[in-house]
Amino acid sequence: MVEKPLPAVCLRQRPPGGVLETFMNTHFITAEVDLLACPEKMYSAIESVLQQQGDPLRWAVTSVDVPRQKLVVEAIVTLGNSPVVPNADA
Amino acid sequence: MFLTLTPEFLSQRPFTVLLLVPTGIGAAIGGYAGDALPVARAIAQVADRLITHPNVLNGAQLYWPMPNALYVEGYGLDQFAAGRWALRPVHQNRIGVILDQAIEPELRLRHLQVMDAARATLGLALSEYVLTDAPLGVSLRTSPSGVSWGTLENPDSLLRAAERLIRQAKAEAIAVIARFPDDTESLALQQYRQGQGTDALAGAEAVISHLVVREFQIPCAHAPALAPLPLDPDLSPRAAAEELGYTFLPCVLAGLSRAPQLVSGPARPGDLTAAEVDAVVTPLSACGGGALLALAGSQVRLIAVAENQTALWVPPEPLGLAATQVRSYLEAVGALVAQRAGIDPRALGSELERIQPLAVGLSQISCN
Repeated sequence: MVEKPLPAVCLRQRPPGGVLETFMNTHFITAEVDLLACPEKMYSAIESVLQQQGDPLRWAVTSVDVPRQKLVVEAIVTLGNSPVVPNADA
Repeated sequence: MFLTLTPEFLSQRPFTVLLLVPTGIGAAIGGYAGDALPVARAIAQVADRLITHPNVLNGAQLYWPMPNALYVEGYGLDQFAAGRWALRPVHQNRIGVILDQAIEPELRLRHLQVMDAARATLGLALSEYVLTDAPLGVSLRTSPSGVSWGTLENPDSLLRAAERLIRQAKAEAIAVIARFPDDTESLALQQYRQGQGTDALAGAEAVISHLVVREFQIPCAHAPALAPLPLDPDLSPRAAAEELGYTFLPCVLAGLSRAPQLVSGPARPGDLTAAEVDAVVTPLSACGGGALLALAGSQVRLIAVAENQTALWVPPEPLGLAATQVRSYLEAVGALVAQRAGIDPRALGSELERIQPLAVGLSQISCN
């Protein structure tokens, strides 16, 4: 089960000269991820699940359900685009 | 003349330890005002290099510079552990400071005076500062597991300010000062001041610094701006460092001034990669963080400290992580000394079982 984030406010493009438009939002989500037999594969497995909900910013496994072989992951993800243009001159 | 074969002579590999006390999970040691700093100081004495994060080293007005400690923000640590970024030590960073527009004029002036004091008294290099073009709008939350987190109403404003500091002021590290809600009557704050419960601010602080590090791949740390609290005679020693002055900024500036740069691409001589980490020390109950899981399967020794209880219960065993479990940080320091010396810790105990033949029929799980 994956708890969906609140809807993003907007995903607008940066307007010419605009400085106060909202491009990015932060959201808290929880997700269930299968507990894998190989721990070295869990990092990428968790990231893959979270990426379906946004761009992961901070996450951690907060409980382990051994009988069901599930992990509960709590995460902050961002939705929307960065207002910053990479490598743009100021 | 005799030649002494010290471990340093036999192996030129620097002994490198990563110390983690995750932020905002109510860690009994390190969940308050830089109160894992004594642990960091002790480990720095037995390691050649200590890598740790602002939550461990920041004590508001108090800090303790250590020449062999690398101050790395949590998002950067995760990327480092995952092998995506390396750490490039520096002699000095030029620090740019972002001030939340929501900070009142008098409180803003207090912070500007800290910045001037850091320049005059510590000799730190600071660029011009930037006010955000909108209030950042910090709000605080607690997750179902008891972990603190938070959101920003205007993350874009934060990123625009960081961009200006990097591109115009040539900042090499970013300190962010956001106005946090004053909640002087809350039960959580009362508990925190008594050294109990979870730091309600810490999760939102991590969101702020993670965002800047993710977008710009630059060292960053956060100091909250808050109105002074009324005097509390029952203040816990673990929370006391945050009530010595008007701001939480001095430790952040000191830490960032020598924080390693976060680099990707081909490594240069002197860059530090995850493959060079020898041991990770973490609370036993908090083994589900990104950095730890990213290091799973490597040769890193995980030392899990039982005494440092947290709001979570995620021990290493169900995650399949092999760990050396110790009761206290004192014991953890001993385990590190043994590891550095090449001594099996079991040889230091009173009972040592006879060596056994490898059991027949046991096959190792293949992860390929």
